[in-house]
Amino acid sequence: LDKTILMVKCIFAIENRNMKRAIIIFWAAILTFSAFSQTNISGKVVNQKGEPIIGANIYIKNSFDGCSSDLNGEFNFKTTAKDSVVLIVSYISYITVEKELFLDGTSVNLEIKLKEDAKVLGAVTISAGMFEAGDQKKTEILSSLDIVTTAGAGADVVSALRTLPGTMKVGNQTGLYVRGGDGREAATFIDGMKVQNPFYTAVPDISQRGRFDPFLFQGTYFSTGGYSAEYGQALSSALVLNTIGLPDGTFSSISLMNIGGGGGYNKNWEKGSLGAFANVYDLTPSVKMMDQNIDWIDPVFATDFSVMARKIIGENGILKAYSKFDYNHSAFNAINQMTLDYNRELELSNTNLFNIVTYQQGLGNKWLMNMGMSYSFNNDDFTFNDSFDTYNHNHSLISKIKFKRDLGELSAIRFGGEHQYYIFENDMYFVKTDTSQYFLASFVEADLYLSRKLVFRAGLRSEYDEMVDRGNVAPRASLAYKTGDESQVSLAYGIFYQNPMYRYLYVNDINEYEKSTHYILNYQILGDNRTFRAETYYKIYDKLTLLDPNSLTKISLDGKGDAYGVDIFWRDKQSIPFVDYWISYSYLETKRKYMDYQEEVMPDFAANHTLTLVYKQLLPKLNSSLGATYIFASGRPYDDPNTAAFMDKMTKPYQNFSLSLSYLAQWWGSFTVIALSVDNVFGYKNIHGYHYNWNGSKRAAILDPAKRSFFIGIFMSFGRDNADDI
Amino acid sequence: MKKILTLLLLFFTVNLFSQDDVYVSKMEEALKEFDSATTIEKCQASLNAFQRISSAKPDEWLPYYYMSVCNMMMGLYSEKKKTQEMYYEQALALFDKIETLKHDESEVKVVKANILMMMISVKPSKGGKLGPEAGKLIEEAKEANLDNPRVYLAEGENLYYTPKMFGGDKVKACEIFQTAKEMFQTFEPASSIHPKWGEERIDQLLEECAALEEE
Repeated sequence: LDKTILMVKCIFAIENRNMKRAIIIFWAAILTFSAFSQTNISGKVVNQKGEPIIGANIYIKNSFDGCSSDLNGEFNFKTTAKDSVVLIVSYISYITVEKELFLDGTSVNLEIKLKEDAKVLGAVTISAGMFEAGDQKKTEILSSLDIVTTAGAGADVVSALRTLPGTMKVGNQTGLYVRGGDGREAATFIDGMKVQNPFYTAVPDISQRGRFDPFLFQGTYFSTGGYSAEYGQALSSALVLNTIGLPDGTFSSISLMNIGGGGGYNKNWEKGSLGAFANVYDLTPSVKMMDQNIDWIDPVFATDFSVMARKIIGENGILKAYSKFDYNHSAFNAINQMTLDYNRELELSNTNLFNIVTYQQGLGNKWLMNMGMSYSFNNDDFTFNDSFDTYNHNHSLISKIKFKRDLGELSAIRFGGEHQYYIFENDMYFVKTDTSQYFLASFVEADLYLSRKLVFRAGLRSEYDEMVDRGNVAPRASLAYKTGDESQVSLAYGIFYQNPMYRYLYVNDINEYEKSTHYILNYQILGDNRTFRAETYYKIYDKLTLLDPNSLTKISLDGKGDAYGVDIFWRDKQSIPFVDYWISYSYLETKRKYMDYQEEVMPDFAANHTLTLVYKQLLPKLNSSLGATYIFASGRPYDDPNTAAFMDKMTKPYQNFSLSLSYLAQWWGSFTVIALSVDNVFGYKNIHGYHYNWNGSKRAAILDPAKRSFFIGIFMSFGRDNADDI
Repeated sequence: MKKILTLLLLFFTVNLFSQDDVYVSKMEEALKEFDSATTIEKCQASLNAFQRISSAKPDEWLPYYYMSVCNMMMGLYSEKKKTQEMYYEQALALFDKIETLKHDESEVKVVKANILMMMISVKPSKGGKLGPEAGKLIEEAKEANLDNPRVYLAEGENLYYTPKMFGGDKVKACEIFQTAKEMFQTFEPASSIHPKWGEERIDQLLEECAALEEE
């Protein structure tokens, strides 16, 4: 019967075809039939749960024989192959099964179980405490473009991250303040290497921006807690920035702004690139235009120069080098804390050099090696009233190597070590130092996928600092479980250490590290165009720097505290056409005894409630986009020396509404963006705290540097979109 | 003896011929399925058929080519962006294999360019990188064969769907579709199993162009 069916099939197939071929096929069929016997292969394809897989491909290697599984996952076909053959069963997003069979004409019946391939789609990822930004990952929350188009962020990576929950809006301090932690508890890493001076040098009562251009990075991992054992020396937060590989193409760029201008050129070769960029900023015109709360003598003047080189090595190696030099200078009348007069001329000159070289190389198909070195120096020179000079110079040399080995599917183990060497030359805070010291760290961490739905991460970090002269061991662990197609829960735990401030370490015999412990529970729904995250945390500070009230330099690590709260994030790019918006809300309860707080109180940088609304509207007909950002933060504590209680007063809530407008054009073959933005449109008078005079009879409010700020700029890029014409 | 020899010779020639002819007839059968594949399930079945053919004839580029097209279509029929992205990634991965085989450069490059454009539709942030790459592939495909109507289809679609602010131009795109339409009328595929798709799509786009003009 089989023979007849096949013959009919053959005849059917040769219909309308030329006669010669028909005859050949006919003969081929006949000959095949007479020469070989056939084996019937049937069975069922199921997944790990035993559910049928529909549309799986079942076939004999090196033959035409096979079929697809039907609605019940069942299959049935005949093959003329005999003896030892390989049966292949494959289906998208599952791991292909190859099975050796011996065929001798007897029917074969099989049940084939396919395992999901965690690499392909929708594997669970560790999300507790972690925001991913950038264009590389499927789990991203903010892209690089989001960073530059957020109103009020001023194209500053850190300012854009401040629109995410867990961050605190601290308008008078430099750095990232995360979940009841101060700016020193957040560390910045570039390509895995710690950056000693990621922000422009802090001056009293002004929040400074980050030093690095957001377009330098392709991936941003912002952790608000519970982060990987690869990173240390931060009690609260890690900001991990990964630089771009080979740029998109040869291009040149020019920018002109009300605060300065710049330009650059990058040349791409097939296996490498080299680019140089320079900028000059002078805030004088914009300071003159807008009302200032700061009595400037010389508004900020800054210039920077950077070089970036990339080289592809072999099939899977890349060498990256980046250098940036910057200089800035400013002078203003700072407050005299005794009299509250703004008559203390403060002049700051800062020079900073940052160099980083990293090399990544795949070794076989299981191993990946990363190594890098960075050297940087930062010189801050302060002059008070043209007479009293003080300086703070530091050099750092960091080397790091790490390895990653795949353990099949998504599981992997990573380990590595780093050496940091510092030179400090300071004349500050009544102490003159000129020392060097080293710091060592190593880590090991494994991601174990127990299934596509369940991943467990365990890590261990160990550090030794020469000054502290004692080692530490910090365990970290996290777990994530996928609860639905797009939803998952994630847990994280970890112990985190950091050195007490160096300036105190020199003059105190401290053999301990500052320490915190994190517990985080996260729930996340990550849809195509909608994201919802809810996270709750508890953070314990066991050891914090505490100043001796009777001395200017003596400290102990008897400080302590805790923080707990809830962070909510909602982003929707879908419900309203051409609109993308997100809402962040943070609830925070925190208390700490540290620095000059001799009792456990809510610190002056913490607010109980922080709400951020970011709105972006695309106007395609006008080639424009409109952005608005609104931030509300409840009041922050301050101390009124006239009352007996310590830190019991609260400032008024903080509010800021910013607008931005950008217009895209193509002029003279360029890709041009004109950007316009106004920060604090309504001129809310935000008070970040108060300075009291020596006897508490007078006070001065700490305000934003300006009531409003205004920005306009033209950015032109040539060649980026028609890279091949050049 | 002579008779036996002739028979033996016949047997071998037949076998020699049959492998190639079976390939062609299997491809034709699979293409029939492919032409009527309007759902993800049917595309999957069609893809499976091409995969089986490639298992027997691993040095032929056409089965991989159609597997890639099937993946692209499955992406188009999918609703979720993540699923679409997965199919487009699978489609692109097949080019690594095709490029090691003897193939029709024009046809292969034009399909790859198409898939890159689909990828941009699900990951607009990659547009800056993939857009120029797709443009380059279309240019190269044109150089390889000036008479391939699918090149003009892709070129036109690229212009048609790129936002104006990034250099898109619907009027110019419609002119190119018209050129493509004319080329389809004279286009002859190299064989019964070589690519010949695209005319229906052109008709559809030209209708949209006509509607645009009325506006």
